[in-house]
Amino acid sequence: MTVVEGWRPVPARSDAARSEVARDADAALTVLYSEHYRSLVRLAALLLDDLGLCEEIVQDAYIRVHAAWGRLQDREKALAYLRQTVVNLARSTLRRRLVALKHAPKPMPHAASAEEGAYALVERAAVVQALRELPRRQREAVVLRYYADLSEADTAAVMRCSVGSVKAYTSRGLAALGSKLEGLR
Amino acid sequence: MTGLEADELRRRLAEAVEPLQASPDAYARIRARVLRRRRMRVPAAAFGGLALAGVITIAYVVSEPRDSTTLVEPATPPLAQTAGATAARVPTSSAAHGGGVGGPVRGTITAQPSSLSTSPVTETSPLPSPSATAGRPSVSPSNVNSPPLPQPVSRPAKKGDVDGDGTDDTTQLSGNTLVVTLSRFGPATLALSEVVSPLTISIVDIDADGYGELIVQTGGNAADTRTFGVIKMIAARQLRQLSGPPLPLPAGLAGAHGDGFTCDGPTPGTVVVAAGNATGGAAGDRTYSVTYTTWRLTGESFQTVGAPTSATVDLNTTASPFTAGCGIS
Repeated sequence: MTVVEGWRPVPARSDAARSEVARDADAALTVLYSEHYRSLVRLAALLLDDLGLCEEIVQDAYIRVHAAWGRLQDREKALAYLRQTVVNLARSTLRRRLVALKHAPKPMPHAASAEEGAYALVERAAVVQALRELPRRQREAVVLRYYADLSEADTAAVMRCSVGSVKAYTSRGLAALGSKLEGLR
Repeated sequence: MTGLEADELRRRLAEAVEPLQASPDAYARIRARVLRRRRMRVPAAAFGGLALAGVITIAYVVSEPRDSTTLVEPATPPLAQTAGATAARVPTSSAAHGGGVGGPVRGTITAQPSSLSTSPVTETSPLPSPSATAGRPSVSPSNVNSPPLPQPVSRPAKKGDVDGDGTDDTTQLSGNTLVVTLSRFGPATLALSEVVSPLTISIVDIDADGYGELIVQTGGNAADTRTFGVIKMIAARQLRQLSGPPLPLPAGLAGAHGDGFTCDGPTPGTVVVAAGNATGGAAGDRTYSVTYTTWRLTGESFQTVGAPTSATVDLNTTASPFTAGCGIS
């Protein structure tokens, strides 16, 4: 898998060219949704504490890719860009949640929706509980390496750190996960 | 790896999130947000454009240089002709003034009557009676409707500057009408009863009040004695030709008599008028007995300064005092 390296400057476009790009973006959005939406939601579920935000984050990522479609250097890398955006948004959400948790009032009880039934199943999975207890960087490394099946180099690119750091995070994460899962049995 | 193998972890992670499915309306929500974003783009761009235009307009209004004619400067009391003011005067050098024939020039000699492209704004009657006010141009019944003069940028005014803004003003002659294009106020005109064409003119601040006076040849010719009048700006776009002794200023040698004047006398801010007669020696003897009288311009009239002095000048060995100075060549 390859990772998007960057974006080219926006060239001046005529109205016709803009319409063409917009049509391309719409078509790409449909294809990317049908092929990757579910897997990206699952990736977000493993990265986030709050499963209710998974779909929102993934939808945000799709909208950003659609808006930036004209600037995408290599459209074959759209999935990589989507995945990186999901990871970045998950990080931002976790940061915001940390701040919000300090000041949050006691939540009101609410009725469960259909999706929440599935979420409950995920919540009950031992590996998810163990994953939640890992530090954020270790969790990202483990999920990207062993759920998204990214190489160490691609994981490093998504996490914006060195390959050596990915190896260290992965190793520590696996060790911690193994002992936690052992403890849950 | 101890305890947890990679394949085992992959399997457990996949199983854990297997129950998660996409919401049925997820695609519709994404499309709706894309459309909303697209609709907002045009108003946002328009708003941004309007804001930018507003900022540019404000910046232009703030930084726009104002037309000099719209300057509103605080009125100041009339300047008193003080020794300090005159002491600040830098003596003019006639050598620094060039002459020329052709179109309008700034400051010194201008020639060629020409048709006017600008309509006269103000025309004053020639030779009004001088007033006794001193320093800054006064307000008289003839100029009572003129805007007050702003402060000059320097005292004395630089050569060629009539209106005291530090910028040269141009002069032209149209028939017997002198047209002065003032950089601060626009054109001003003055009908002269006598003037020599092509125009010979110099702009020098004789009284060091910050506004230049115009010295114009009004009679004679270069081979004989020339006479010069002095014109003063008495209000914005209002010029007045001065009268009274020692005007008109004569310059030149005519037989056994010679006259001249200079602004480069020992006392700054004055005009030294020289008048001499040949001592009556043998043919070829160019010795003259010369009387020097110093005049100071106060208000619209000249007054003598001190007593006249006399000297004997041999034109064979000494520069002739019988020339026109004050920038006239």
